Amino acid sequence: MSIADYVKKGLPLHEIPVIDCHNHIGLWKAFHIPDPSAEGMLSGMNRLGIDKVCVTAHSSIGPDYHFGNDMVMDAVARYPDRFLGYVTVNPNYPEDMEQEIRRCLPVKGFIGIKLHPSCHGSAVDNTNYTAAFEAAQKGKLPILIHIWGRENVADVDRLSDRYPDAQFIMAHAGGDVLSMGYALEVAGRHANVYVDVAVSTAYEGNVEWFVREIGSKKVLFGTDMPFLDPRPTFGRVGMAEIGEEEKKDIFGGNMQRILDQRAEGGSKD
Amino acid sequence: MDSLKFFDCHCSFGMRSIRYPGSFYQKEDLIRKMKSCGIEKALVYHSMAQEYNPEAGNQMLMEAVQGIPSLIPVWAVMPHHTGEFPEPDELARRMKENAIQAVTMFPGAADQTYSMAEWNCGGLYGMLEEQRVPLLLGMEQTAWNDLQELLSRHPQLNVILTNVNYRIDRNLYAMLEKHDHLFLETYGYKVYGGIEAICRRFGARRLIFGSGMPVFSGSGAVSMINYAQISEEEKREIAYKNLENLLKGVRQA
Repeated sequence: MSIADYVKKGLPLHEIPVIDCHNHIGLWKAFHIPDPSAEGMLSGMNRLGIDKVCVTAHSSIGPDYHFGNDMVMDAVARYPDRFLGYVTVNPNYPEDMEQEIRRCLPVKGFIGIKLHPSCHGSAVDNTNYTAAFEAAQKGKLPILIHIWGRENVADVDRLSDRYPDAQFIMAHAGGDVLSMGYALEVAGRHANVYVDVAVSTAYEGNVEWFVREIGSKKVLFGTDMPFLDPRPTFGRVGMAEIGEEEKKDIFGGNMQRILDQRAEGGSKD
Repeated sequence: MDSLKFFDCHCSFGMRSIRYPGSFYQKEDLIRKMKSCGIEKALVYHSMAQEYNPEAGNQMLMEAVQGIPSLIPVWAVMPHHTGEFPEPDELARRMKENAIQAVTMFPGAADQTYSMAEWNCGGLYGMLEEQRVPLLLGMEQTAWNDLQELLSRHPQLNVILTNVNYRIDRNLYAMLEKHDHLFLETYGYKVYGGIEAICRRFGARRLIFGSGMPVFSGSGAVSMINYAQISEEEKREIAYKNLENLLKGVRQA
C-alpha cells in the first residue's frame, strides 16, 4: 500500500518514521483548544502515526517562558519516546537568556531552540538573541523560528551564513505566499536552512511546489499541533503528488538527520 | 477498510486574479483532483461570479458544467435594486428552470461590496428560506453580528458557513446553540480536536464537508475527516449525507 493509500483510508502511518518538527503544548489566549495537553496530543499522534513531536509551549511564545519550558520538561520526562523539547527564549529578557538555555538544553530530550520574534515584538536578527544563535551553532542544533514575511526571511538568509552549524528551520515556510517563494530560494541556497509545511491556510499544491523548487531534503513535516489540527498537513504531505521517497524525507527522514548530526556533549533523546 | 466517499459543498473553477504556485483553475483539473481525493461530486461556482459579475459568472458556469454530473452548479446571488441582478421572484423562477439547488454570495468589501442587512437583502433571503435553498456564506464575507441578524430574521434558512478558521469557537458555539439551521464547512476548521468536540456538543449533522479547492488543499480537507476520532457513521454524515439531506429539502416544483 502506498503512503497515499494509508491517508485515504484514514490508517495510522506506522510503516515509516514520522517526526513532527513544529509543535506546541498548553493553552493559548486567543482561542479555544479542546485538549492541548500532552495526553490530548498523544491521542492525535497515535491516530495519525506520528512517532515524535518537537514541542515548545504556548506560554513560552507568549508571556512566561519559564512556565512554558517547565511544561515542556514535564512532557518530555513523562513521554520520553514521543516528546522532544525546544528551549524557548524571549529577547525582552536578555539578562536571563544564557541561564535559561543552560537550564533546559542539557535536559534529556531537549533537542534545540525555538524563537517567536513576532509574538515577542522583535526582529529575527535582534542582537538580544545572540546567546540563542551561539548555542545552536555550538551544538549544531535545530533552531525553529516563526517566520512571517520577507524581512524575517532576509534575516535568516544573513544569520545562516553567520552561524553555519546551526540548523535553521523557517516555520510556516515564510508565512504568506509571496514570502514563501523567497523562503524557498533562501533554503535552496543554504545547506543549513529548511522550511516546514505548517500553515493554517493550506493552499492547494504547495507541498508539490516546495519539493519542485528545493527538493524534498529541505522540507520538514511540521503541523503546529495543537495550535492547529495536524490532520490537514498530514494529508497534504501524504497525498501530495510527489514520490514515496520524497514523502519519507519530509515525514521524518530529514528531521532525523538534523537530530543525528548534533554535536556530542549535548542532551540525547 | 474502504475509503470514505465525499460530497464537497465548496469548489470552484475558472481563472482568478491571484493564482498561487501549485494550484490549478481548470475544471478538468478539478475533476481529476476530486477523483484522487475520493470526492464523488461537488457544489461548484465559477470564479468569475465572484471576481467579475454574478450573472456573467453564473452563465459561464452553466455552460461549463453541462453534461458533467459530478459538478453541481451553485449560483452567486446579490441584491436586485440596481437592476444588475434579477428580483427574488424572477431569480426563483430561473433557479428552478436551471435546477439550482444552492447559492452563494460575496457581499464583502474585497468582492461585491454591499450590505447583507435585511433592508438590502431581506427579499432575497426570504425567497431562499421559502424555497429551502441553502446559502453558502464565506466567513470573510460577513461578521458575527450580521450573521446573527440574518439567522434571527430567517430562522428556517439553511446557512453553510464556509472559509472558517481555527479561532472561532468562542463565537461559533453561541451561534450554533441559537440557530439550528447554521452549518459549518469543515476544511478551514483546523481546531485541534474541534470536529470531535462539535460532534459531541452539537452533533455531526452541523458539519458539512467542503474543500475550498482549487484555492485550498483537497487532500488536507479529506484527511480531516478520514482521521477524525468519531464514529464511521458520523464520518459518513459529514462527508456526504448532511449535504445530500439539505439539498433533498430544496423545493423544486
